[in-house]
Amino acid sequence: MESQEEINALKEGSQLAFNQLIDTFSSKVYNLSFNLLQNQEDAEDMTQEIFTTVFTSIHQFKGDSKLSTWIYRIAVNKCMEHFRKKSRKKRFGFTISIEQNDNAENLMKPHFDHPGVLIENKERASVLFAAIEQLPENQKLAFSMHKLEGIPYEEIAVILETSLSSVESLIFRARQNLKQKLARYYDENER
Amino acid sequence: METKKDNWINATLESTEGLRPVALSEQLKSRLKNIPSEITVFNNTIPLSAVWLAAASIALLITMNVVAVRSVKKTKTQQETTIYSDYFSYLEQDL
Repeated sequence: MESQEEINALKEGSQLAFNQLIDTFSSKVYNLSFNLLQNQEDAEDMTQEIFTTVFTSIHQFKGDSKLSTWIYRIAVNKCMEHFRKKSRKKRFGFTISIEQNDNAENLMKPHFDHPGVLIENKERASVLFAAIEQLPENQKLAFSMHKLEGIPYEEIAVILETSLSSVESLIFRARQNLKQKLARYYDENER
Repeated sequence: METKKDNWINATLESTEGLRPVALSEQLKSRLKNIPSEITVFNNTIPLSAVWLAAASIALLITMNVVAVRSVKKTKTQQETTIYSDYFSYLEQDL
């Protein structure tokens, strides 16, 4: 799905080429959205939004990067928009926090049961996903893309439009943050 | 004790090893494949002239509202001035 002919067909609005694009990339895009948003309905809506954007802006694709990288970049930008909308909503509902203590926001509440996780790891993975959800945006994206999607550092750098060393640093900091969050969770719940 | 905690943290960090991709539902796949026809239908069913007509109607409605609000304000100010001048008119007579 990376040949110039196929990309030209997409730019001309060919339904056949678009079907091929869906067959090739829909699973990757859906899984990325699912892992980042941690909700099936949100991931489905997000996947539809991403492919609508791909269809309407394919003429802007200049071929500087791989088509898959360009699609991933759209996916990441859309997910970032989603996180920002969500955090704006949270800030808007700040009145509840009067009755809660300051640590309430930092409390991890495992809630996401990923159907692709091995049965013996279900409980731990749920805690890990709750910790990932609390990471800063860029760390969350880089860590999820590498750890959950298996995207190499070099491609993540192109997707996030940053340097390779920045990606390495983001993933390193994400791991450190996760270790701290998990240690706190262990002290509060597992001990 | 600390080793137990470290082991738990490391095992949790590695708990997504062997994560299998989630399969898309057929319904979602067909929704995705329908995107081009839906967008084309939308573009074809709403003619540009209708879009311009709607925009012009909205602009006209806003203008009419602005004019109406301004004229109400003007009338109100004139009425208030008349009331004040009537009320204080006895002072002018006494003086």
